[in-house]
Amino acid sequence: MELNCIGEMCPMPVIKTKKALQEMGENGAITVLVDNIEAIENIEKMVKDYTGCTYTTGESGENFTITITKGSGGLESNAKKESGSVVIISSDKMGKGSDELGETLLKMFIYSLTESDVLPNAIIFYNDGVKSTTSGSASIESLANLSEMGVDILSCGACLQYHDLTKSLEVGRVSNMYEISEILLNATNVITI
Amino acid sequence: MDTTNLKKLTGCGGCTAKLPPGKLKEVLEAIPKFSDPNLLVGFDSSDDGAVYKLTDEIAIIKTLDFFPPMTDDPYSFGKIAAANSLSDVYAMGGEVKIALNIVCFPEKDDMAILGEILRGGAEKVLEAGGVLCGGHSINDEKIKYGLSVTGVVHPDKIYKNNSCKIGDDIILTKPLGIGIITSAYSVFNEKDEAYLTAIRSMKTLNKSAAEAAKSFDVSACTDVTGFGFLGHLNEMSNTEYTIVVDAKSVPYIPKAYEYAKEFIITAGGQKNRKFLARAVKLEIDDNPLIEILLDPQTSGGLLISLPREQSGKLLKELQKSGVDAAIVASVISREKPNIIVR
Repeated sequence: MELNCIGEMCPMPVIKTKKALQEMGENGAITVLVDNIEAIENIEKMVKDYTGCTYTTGESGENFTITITKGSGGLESNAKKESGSVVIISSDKMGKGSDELGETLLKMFIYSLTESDVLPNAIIFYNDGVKSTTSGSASIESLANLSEMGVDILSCGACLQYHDLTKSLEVGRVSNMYEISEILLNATNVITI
Repeated sequence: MDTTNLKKLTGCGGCTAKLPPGKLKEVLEAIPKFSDPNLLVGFDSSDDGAVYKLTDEIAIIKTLDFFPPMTDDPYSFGKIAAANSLSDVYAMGGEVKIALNIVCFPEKDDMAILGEILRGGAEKVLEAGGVLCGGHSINDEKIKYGLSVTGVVHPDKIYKNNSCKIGDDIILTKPLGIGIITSAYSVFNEKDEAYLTAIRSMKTLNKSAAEAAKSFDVSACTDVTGFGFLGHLNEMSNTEYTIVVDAKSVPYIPKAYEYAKEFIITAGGQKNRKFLARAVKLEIDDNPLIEILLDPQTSGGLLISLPREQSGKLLKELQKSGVDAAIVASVISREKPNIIVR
């Protein structure tokens, strides 16, 4: 399939390409022809944001081309959205009742955040919560992934000291009550586990 | 009145129609340099206008700006193009005195359209306290309009654009996102709240902002147009200091963020991004916001640099006069890039 956007100004080529990709079946391909390099660069930004698409760029005389192949992953945005939410974890368990179940639930909760489309801005660990960010925790990998996605992982410094865990911190950074209170006051919503 | 011609052109209008800054610089480097001790500001410093000293008390500011329409309403277009041209005088710290029209218009088109454009422009010159006293028109396929403006300033009170001081704060006096919103309008043709806000903002003179700044120790000033917020901040930089932008505090029309997220973005913004690649260090990865910081503005606000101790007070004065201003950056001792966005 070919899409000719010669003579068209941004954002038109981007919009038309996106529409064509959405309407196309799985594993289809499209070549877009434009007359300015900026249009190619703006289309690249859009394609990079979607999973399952690969592309190559080229030149054709004075014009530019981009060929996009749509994989089987569909046209879903890669971009995780920031929510302005802050999650507080103040225990090593989730909910009241069985301790064993509570620990598993907390681990599952942290894992499920890594799969979510909407990420919190920060996760704050205090009191027994710091057991999740220190050696021996079953959630280190999930928290490291969240940190990589831009979520600020904070452990209360006084709590680490109290539990003698300061040297065992495995993920995120040490924070203090001043910073924690500022983050909570600036949050659009606070979720306490 | 048939405005199809206006409508056809709105996609590439306003300051998004500027030549890319890199290419322009190459050309300017090859032309002869002039030296005259009375030329206080020339184009070697890529400042807003030229300033020439006549006496120890009076210098004249000369500036010229014109562009194709970014709206299909000729009266609004006239106002916007004029406000944009007049802005350079305010950015230099001057007062508007006289203005001349510059017009390109297809002779086969309805002359009533031209009448509306000129009426809008004249009203803005009147509001600026200047006198409109002539102009020049050319028969051309594509409509373009603007003004050549002459202003006056005391030679010791000129605002240069790259003379910020370490310890300054920088205030922006209009929200960003104009280029993205007018481009979105060219696609969707919907006059929603965001579009009307953009039009209102473009029509607004930088006069109140400039007047409020007069009683403060302004160390540098420029206005935001085609090179975008970061492009014009880059023109405010020199090798003595670095400008740190607090991205969270930069005001923009909220809809622009939604559009940028959907890649309703301009080629002008992408040109600015490439030109600034080495000058700007981006410590944020919020792509839609970065697009807004690079978005070409038409008739954008002033960027006013002044000592931190005074910035809060000026901000209050600006807000009191109805200016939608915010403190957006600070000037620190030199680090590697010209600008850091965090």
